[in-house]
Amino acid sequence: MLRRWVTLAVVMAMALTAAVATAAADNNNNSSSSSGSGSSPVATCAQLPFAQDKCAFVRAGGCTAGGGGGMIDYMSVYYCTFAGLPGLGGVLMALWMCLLFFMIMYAASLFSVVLAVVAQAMRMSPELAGVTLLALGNGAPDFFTAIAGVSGSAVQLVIGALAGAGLFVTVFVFGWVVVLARGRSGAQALRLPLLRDIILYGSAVLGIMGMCLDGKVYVWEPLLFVVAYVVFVGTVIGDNYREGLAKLLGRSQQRVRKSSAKEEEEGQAVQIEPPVKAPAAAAEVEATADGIPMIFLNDEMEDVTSPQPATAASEQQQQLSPMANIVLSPLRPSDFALESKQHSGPRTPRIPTLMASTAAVAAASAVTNAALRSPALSATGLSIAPSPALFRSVAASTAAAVHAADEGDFALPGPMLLTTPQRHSFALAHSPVLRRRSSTPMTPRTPAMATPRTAAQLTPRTSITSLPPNFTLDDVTRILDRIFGIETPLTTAAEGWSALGEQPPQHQQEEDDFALEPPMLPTGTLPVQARHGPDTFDTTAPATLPIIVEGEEEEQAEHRDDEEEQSVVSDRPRFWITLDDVKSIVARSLHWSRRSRTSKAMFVLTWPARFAIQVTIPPGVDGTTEVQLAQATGAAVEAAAVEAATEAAMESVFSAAATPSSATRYCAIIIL
Amino acid sequence: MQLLFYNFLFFFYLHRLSTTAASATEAAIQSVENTAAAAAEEAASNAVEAVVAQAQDAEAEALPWNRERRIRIACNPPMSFLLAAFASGGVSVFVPQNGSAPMFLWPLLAGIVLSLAIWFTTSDERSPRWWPLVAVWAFGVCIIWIYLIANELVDLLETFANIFGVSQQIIGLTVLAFGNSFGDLVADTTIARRGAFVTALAGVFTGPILNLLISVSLALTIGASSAPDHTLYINPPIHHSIFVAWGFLLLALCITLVVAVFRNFTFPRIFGYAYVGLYVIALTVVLLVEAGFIPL
Repeated sequence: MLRRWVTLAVVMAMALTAAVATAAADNNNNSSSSSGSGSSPVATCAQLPFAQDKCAFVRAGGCTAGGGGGMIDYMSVYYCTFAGLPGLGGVLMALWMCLLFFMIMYAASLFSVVLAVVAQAMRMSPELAGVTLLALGNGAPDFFTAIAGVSGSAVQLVIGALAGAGLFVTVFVFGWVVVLARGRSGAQALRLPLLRDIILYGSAVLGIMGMCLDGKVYVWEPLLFVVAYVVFVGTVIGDNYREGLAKLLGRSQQRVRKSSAKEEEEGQAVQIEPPVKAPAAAAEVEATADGIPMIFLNDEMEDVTSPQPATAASEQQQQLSPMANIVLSPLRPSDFALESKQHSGPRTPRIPTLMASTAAVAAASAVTNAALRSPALSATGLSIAPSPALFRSVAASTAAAVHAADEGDFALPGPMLLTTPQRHSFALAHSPVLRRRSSTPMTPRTPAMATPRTAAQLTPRTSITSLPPNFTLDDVTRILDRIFGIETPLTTAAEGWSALGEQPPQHQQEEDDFALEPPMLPTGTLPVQARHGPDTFDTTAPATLPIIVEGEEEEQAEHRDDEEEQSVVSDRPRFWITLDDVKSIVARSLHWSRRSRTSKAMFVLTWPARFAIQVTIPPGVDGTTEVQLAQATGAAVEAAAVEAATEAAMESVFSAAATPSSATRYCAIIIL
Repeated sequence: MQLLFYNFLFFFYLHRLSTTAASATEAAIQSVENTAAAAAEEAASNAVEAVVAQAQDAEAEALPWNRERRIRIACNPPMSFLLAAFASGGVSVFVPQNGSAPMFLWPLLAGIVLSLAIWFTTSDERSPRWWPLVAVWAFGVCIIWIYLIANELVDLLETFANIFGVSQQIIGLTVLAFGNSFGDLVADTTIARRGAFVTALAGVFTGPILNLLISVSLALTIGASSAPDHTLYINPPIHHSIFVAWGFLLLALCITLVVAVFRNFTFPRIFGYAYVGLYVIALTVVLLVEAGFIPL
């Protein structure tokens, strides 16, 4: 700890000393040269147009432009080197200026990365690094331009640039951003961050106006601003530091509901390969005042983009309901570094619409390709068969992940369970988005759990594999165990469900029991319901695949399958992870979340039904709340099921999903 | 001729810089490329988060050590020392003075000695323990590099001001402001296009705020504290046009505030167009004030 701070201090001192030293040196140089010429530059520059021999005038130091302390005497370059061709000289210098701007931007981008590496090497917290080193990296061009100008005779240039940049960004760029804003929410800003930014910036501008009025900058005047900044850094380092960062950077993660249908990207996505069509269905969940979620299933983007007056109401209900922002996920606390910002700022409902973007598809193909070439894969003796279904599934899940992280609502922190329509091609991967957050290898909690088959698939890097034909759902369960890090053996279905307080309610479970016993998967295996038998299954498909067929679901499933039958490629999904699975996973995740004492966890599960469930647990929930959460989640899922089970909704989702062009159609169920 | 010489020199250093920084950050950059366009855009926009994530990723990659990297690291010191000498002494370090050897030979020699030391104390297989310190090295090189470019930029802009006979502040208000804010423009509009209006809005305000609070204030503080009487004299004083620009800025902020409050923090599209127009008007007025067409 001490070493870290000492290193930080040394580096910062190094940077400051370098800056001060160079500034002082330049000041001396400049003062000596200007004293030599004996007059202020501007006064003589005013005489420049009347000079007979401008080259000689400039050479004699009549009008210099050395305020920045650069190497090249541009005045003499313009008036002497290009004396005969002033146009050419001007054009070349303009090009040189563009090149310099490009170079400084490039250097600053490298600098940012270097600073990130330094911060990482010093094991600084992301928040601290963000407001110190990385802010320095982002503002490096501004800062060094200002240093160069201030230390020379170009203070005016700096002040002008400050005003111009402010005007340009907060007026022009702001206007343009508003024009570009789209989606259902449009240009819906967040109250507190916007007010805070405007007031802070306005007062700062007023302050700097006052500073410049008298033509003198006393050292304490700009120092005040720096102190204000340091105070913010202190806020960041302090107890509330994550919220502090979010506030300071204005990066509140609270999103107004936003669904941006990118039609052109869908088009590109379709080109890429197996027709991946983006998003489409979004289910909104709005809790009523008594906390019971109600789900509105919108199956068309057009509906989603209709005006949404619900913000205020949702905020209100969020205050009423304690179960805002559910989470879960296999995360270490360090993985949540950037997560909890979500809980700062106003409570607005977050309805990320999962959508496939071009980038997601590209990433998915990259993942798939990497997996196919992976030596780790071949070492396991497993084989992977690239199939459109697998690709689609990867693309869909990646799209969900990318979009979710893109929205900033949450970063996918842990492994993502990718389920392909064919249960035997079961992909477990860190998505590109995921692996940024979880850089530590997942080591098995218990060695016994690391069967050779599953161990190789859980490398922290991108690893994806299809499981061999004899892969059973026990293996799935084991993988889930690995994911959630629960070593306790599986219990029976009755226990699992009673832990949830859900059916079958053989005996009403006490909340204390939930707190004591981890909720388990309802059965020894992941309960998978077959909607239909594996008639068109791959011949290598295991006959031993433990499929639980529930009678009452049978007919409906048959019916649904018949619909799909027609438009489907041969490897169409035959098996569906049911809502039961979701419930159990939710329960386990809740347990895991409580266990690891993390404030937030997240799990995105996409499965052939094209539902994605995102659950967010507010920080500081206790076991009691968790039970409620689990029940609410279950209720929401049930409600979704009920909703989805209605013929119209079902048709719109599943029959549309059955067409290859919309294979990745999702519903997003968000429990607020 | 002189210009060509300097051009060559700068390109040389640009290349050198890229190799230095790349050696420490290759993994991080690669990770950005790997995560495709989305992550790259995020890196451009959400710089802090993305960069931290990249750094974590880079750490996970553990900066693999191999022969190529060993060669790169070993080649760095002479280059870096030359760059430092050049930054401190300018061209004079390359010119023999009073019959003695040019100054640049000494850092060059020191660098060569250091690189030989590095080369013979390392092996291809195992990374040395000081390996992460290369990032700190690259840190210094980056600072020198950015500082050099910034110096040239300020000189060049000052020259433009002299040539066109306009004040420095107007050059700063237009050219330098645009050049330094171009990154903001690209990043913010990219985010907005992707539908994340709130994030884009945060970027819109965060950039100028940090620019004012840290970059310029720190520079002014350093400049003032290194002045003899701890006071920086703005001579000639700031012209009215800058205050007009700030006035427009405050006006825009007030309008934003009013619109936000009365429209429930939702900005209609016409508001965006109006602001683009307002910027054009503001710039025109500022330029007219500067040119003296509008007396103040």
